[in-house]
Amino acid sequence: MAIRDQVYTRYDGTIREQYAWAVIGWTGFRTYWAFWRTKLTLLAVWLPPLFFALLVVAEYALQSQMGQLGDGEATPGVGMITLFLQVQIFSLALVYAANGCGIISDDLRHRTIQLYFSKPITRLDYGAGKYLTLLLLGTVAVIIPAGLLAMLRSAFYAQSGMLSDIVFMHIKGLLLAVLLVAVMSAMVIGLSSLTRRTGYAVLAWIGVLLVPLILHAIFGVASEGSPLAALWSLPGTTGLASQALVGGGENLPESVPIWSPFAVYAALLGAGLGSLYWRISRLEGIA
Amino acid sequence: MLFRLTNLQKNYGHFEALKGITLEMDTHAVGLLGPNGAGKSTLLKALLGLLPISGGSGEVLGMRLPEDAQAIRRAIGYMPENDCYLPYMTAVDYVSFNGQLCGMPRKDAFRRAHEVLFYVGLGEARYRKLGSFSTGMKQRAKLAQALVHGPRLLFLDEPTNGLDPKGRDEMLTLIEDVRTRDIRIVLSTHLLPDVERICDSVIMLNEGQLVHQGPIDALQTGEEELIEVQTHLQDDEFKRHLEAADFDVIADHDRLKIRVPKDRCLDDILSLAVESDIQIRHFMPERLTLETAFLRLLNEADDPSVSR
Repeated sequence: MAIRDQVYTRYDGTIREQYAWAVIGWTGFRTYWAFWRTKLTLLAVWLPPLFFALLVVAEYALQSQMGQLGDGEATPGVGMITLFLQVQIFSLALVYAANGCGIISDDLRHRTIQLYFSKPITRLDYGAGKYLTLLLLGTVAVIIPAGLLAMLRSAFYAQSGMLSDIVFMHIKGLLLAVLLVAVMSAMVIGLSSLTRRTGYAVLAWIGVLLVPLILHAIFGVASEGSPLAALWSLPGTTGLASQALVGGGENLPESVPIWSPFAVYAALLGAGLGSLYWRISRLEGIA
Repeated sequence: MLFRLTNLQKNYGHFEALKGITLEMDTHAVGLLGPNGAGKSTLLKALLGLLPISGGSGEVLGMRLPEDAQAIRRAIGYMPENDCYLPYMTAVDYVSFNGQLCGMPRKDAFRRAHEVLFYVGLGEARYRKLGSFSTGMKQRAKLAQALVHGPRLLFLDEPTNGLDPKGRDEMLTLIEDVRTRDIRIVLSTHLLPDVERICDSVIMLNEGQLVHQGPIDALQTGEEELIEVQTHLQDDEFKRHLEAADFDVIADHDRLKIRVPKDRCLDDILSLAVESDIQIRHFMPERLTLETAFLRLLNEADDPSVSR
């Protein structure tokens, strides 16, 4: 191996003092994107949105034939949005299990954290950058398909008198999708902050999703179908949040306060980001 | 000025890792020496602004700690001791990413990553994943990431660790070349020959205290002469006699290294051997190496009663 293939030249170009978080976020996303497993899982999680797109086309065809497009009293599609978001929870869970769970644990395991912090970046840059990586993955897996479906469905209602209602409803649906991605990303980054072994983070992630689903079922049976039992699981909470936000709270059961699903989201978001904060504030000697 | 430290202290709870280091140094390449636990890594991290200091003050390249920690890190390239890379990143992505973290625009960082990888001899391997690199290649990749943003000062923590003799020589040749490019170097290592080859000054630490700072030449050209002596199985006994006669003696494997102050002569040692009935088998004047000087300074630090 040659000692030097060319001489060293000094770098005298531009040096920016901001946006290190964006560099970390984008590089993390590009690194994940280079994996075959990322491409395969993203391909897999785009199949359900494709199926929903077919449903939208079928809905349009059916309603056009029946001449009812835009004739109904209520804004149609709240249930479909709820179902779509609930399905996307599992899609995003798959993407993060395959790719995102090593977001912090890999840095701990491979000791790259000390290299990050030997550069002129802050702990906030690091945390925000890593979180951004997961948000970008979540955007590709959930928010972009949701946006495309929203546009497709709005286009079908373009000639009807319900266009503004439909568009408004889908904007609220998209907001909920963004909130869902933010919450799930925080959960993953929180779990990844707790260990240097990515395998443990994956197991914990699966457990965090499955155990509450079982609790949801148990408490549902025990309370003879109380809608509050849905707050135990993420799909259940998302269903209630969709009814509260997208459906305007009309179909929300009376026993469920309208703020309750969002309180669950806030708690999960806080726990995840709190765990990240705990990790990056315990880096003395490294950062 | 490279460093200006005034009573720099770092405590971990009740443990004092740095016990008030005061020094000024304005040199091109300095070796940071000390046994394990001496505080070398703590000092490096404190100078990088990674560790909050517990007391005192410090300046690196004229920038104050901790206020200018970000600016200091921007001016410094740091090559850590241990492996710290994601094995699934390619070398060019790794180096370019580190450049961007230092604030370089993406295009510049990418172009520059190619340049420095060619410079360190990894041009052909720049698209390979780091996980497939040999130890020598990993060390070169770490050097490349430290150089990518054109630092004014390079912190090298054990850069020849784990390298075979040829790889070590190549790495030292690279570092020597870096040194000629107007980049200052701080070399932290256990390998004293590396320091002798690269550095013109040394900072020696022991148990968190400064043992010595200054040019290597001054350390190696003391006023005293150094004699290497071997006896017939009586080294320990002769060492006791020599120390009783106020000689500074270091036991080095099966030989004794004796410092002869200017007011004494070699005959004094031979006379002492005759008086003590010690059989001398080897008696050879020796050049004072950095290693010998280092051991002597450590001995003095551990036992202040040892005379020079």
